[in-house]
Amino acid sequence: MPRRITTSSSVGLCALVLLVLVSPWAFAASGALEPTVWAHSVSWVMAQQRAFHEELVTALKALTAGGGTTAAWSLILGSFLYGIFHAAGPGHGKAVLTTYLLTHPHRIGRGVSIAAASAFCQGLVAIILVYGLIYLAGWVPRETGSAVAWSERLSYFLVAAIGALLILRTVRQVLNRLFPKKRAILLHSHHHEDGENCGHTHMPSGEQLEQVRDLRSAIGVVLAIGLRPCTGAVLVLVLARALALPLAGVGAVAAMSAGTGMAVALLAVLAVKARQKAVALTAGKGPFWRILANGVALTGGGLLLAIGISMLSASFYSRHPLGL
Amino acid sequence: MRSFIIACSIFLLSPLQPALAHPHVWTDITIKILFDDTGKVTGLHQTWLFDDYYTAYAVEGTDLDGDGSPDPEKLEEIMGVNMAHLKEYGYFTEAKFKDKVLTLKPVTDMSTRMLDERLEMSFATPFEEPVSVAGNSFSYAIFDPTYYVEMLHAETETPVTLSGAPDGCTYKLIPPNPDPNAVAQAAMLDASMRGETGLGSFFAERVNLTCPVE
Repeated sequence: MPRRITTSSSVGLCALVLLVLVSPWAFAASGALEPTVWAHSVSWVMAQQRAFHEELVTALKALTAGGGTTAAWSLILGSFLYGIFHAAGPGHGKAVLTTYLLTHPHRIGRGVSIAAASAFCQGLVAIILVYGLIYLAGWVPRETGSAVAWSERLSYFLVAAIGALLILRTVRQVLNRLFPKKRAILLHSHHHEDGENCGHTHMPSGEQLEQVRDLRSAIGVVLAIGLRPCTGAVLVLVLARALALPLAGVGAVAAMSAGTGMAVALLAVLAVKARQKAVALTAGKGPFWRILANGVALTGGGLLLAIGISMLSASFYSRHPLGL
Repeated sequence: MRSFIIACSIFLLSPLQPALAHPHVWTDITIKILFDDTGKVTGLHQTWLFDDYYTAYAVEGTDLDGDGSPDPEKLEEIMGVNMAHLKEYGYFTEAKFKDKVLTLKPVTDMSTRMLDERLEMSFATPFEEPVSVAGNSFSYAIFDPTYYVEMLHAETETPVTLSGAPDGCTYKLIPPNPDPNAVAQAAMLDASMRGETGLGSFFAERVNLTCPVE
């Protein structure tokens, strides 16, 4: 049943959904929530997801039957909310994003951009993998599964790589602090290599270097998240094509990405703020805090490395028996 | 500070459970419990009706003769592949007799068709040994251990039929009632971890069969 929902109420609804959804995971971890409540919210998220998934079928069928604008909006809104609910569940993408933003200095705007870009990339990859292979390469949907699997493997590899780089970076920081002399020598030699730039002040080139490095790491994060298309999106694309409505499929996936992007952007804001708060709180508080910060970075890096490797290896032996 | 705590909690929580592989495919199942002449249960005849998504995914490109519906031979081929893969997973079927899981023989009576534009697969899973259920506990559950596919009995008048059952046999469909702690624990499993107690078992329906002692 296509429903009419006004813009303001749907915005309010989305905000509420975000609040309700993101908080249970958080509070459960901090022990503030009974496991029962938590389990119920897990089931609830699942039930909601199922409801939206089914609503998408209804909307797509209504479109085929000439449902017009109402059906189209119903599809877009349903996909958007599905995207939010999908992001509300746990996933490796959020682990990568939070770890990265907690350990790298970024402004809120940048954090949100990375989150949005990841969600956008995820939608785009789904469209390219499914429609690209079907329309351009003439595959049938069943066969796209293997391409999706390889894209996922690449994503897991990147997750592991980001974890490894994070560990390396932290180890280097610690070593530099333990052996400050060595660091000075390194900096010194660096100066010499930059001989040509000596006319300029050293800072800008350092900053530029930092920016390039930041951009590179941010792209890595976006790809690590985005290369793993969401099954929900793949299935909607396949169904839309079966109903001869590929454009509706693209629209639905775009709306899904927008929903996911919004939910993940909220997480990004929290992570960036958390880092800023932590930095402000611990500024000039001695070595203990620095050790703690390095500990967090090492733990995060280790987790990502472990997740990446385990998912990568699992992806080679655990294909779903129904060919999904 | 509060947002710091929240973010930290999310950070701590999220990597632990990439496996909350909420179902992406929904299947309506209809089961016939098969009895032999002596009143023993010989196996289950199962009918799986897939949702529109999986149908589109599986049958696209199977209409080779262009008559607007998938070619039966192609559908059979797909079913053959699926069943071959499902063998390793015990056909997602867990039948228990006196609290012991029954061994299944290879599937028989495979057939597949399109029903209201949805893909349907049916087959029988015979038990290694027929079991005498009179006065003994017998039950089954059908579920995808990874919970990628949600399998629930169809919301029809007769999701379960007793085929050739002695008089007085009745069944009871018990809806899933996941123990919260189990759900929480299962949700913490990594995607790569696959045990006997998959996430799916917590969300599975179970059917208990009781037959009177003669």
